[in-house]
Amino acid sequence: MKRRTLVAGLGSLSASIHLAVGSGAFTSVSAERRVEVDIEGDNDAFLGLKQLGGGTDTIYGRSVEGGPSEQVAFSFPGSGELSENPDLGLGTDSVYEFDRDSGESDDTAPTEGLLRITNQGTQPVEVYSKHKTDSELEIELYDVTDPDETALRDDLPTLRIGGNIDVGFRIRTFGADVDEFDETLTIVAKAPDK
Amino acid sequence: MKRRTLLTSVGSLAATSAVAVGTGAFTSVSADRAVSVEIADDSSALLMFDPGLKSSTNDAFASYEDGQLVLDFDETDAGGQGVNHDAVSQFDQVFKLVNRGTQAVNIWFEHDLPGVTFYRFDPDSNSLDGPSNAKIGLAAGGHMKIGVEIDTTASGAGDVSSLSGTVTIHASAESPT
Repeated sequence: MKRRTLVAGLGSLSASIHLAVGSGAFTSVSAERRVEVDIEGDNDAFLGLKQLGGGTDTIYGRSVEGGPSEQVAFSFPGSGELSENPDLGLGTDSVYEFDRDSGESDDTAPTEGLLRITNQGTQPVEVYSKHKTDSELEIELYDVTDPDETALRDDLPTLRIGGNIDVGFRIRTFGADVDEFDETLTIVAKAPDK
Repeated sequence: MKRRTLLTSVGSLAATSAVAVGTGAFTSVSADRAVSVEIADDSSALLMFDPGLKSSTNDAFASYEDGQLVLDFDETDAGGQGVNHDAVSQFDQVFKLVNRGTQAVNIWFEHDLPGVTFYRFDPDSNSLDGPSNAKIGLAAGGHMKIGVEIDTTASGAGDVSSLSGTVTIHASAESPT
């Protein structure tokens, strides 16, 4: 009689241990997960940047449609013209607008625009440029199809996914000396409301 | 007479020995008990990772591979093949992290991926990298949308054509620092 009571007691104990463990709470966890990133030349990257027109290479090569995918770079005057005439340059206290590559000048149907900006990402974006400099130069981009040639940063265009815009460069030289300038122009694509 | 006394004494000795031994001490015991553990894919885990976000198109860069979250910044439908060299690329809301446990937890990320920052809302003021950036109290049942910033300006115009590695996602009910 006593022995049967003891066996029943053991059975109940196991049952309650099982219930106590099934609570689902965790105090800490660490999970390791894979990350892969592809880095591309300007032609093929999410912010697609392609040089337009048939001009010569700059020191960074040339990022062109269907061609090698380097980093875009621009030279004013064009590097081809400078190699023939090294003293050539923009005039002082002036505004210059460049809307096609110097290599297009002999073409009867020249390609308009120096740079094509293409949204190859996942969200519609506004595009514009920023120019930080210690010099007196002012550089801005404008849409070559815009008759008013408004600077992008003054009227932000929105590129849908897959959309593009062809731009020219406006350079103001007021207050700048006769010299050679290595400038950096930051091209920005930003989702609206950011 | 003497004999009976002796018997009685022996009897008493036996009784006291029994008492001395019966304290219940043991040197070791080994008892097998049942513990049941269920392991789940990231889509059903206690710390769940969700690569599908209705509020974002950047979830294109997150997916499940063999049930585990993988982040892969490569092809887009629009023809992009990867991030720009020499640029800072920011992707809001790439995946969602859900606390399906029963306690609030602190979340932080740990990795060696150069130029990469995991963040919530924005990478400058809301980085999640490192235990000092742990965000307090993701409530039980709560979720967090995670963004990724990739800065390739340090490697310049392009000797590095890809980054590959792992990120460790930490969740803890205790303070990590």
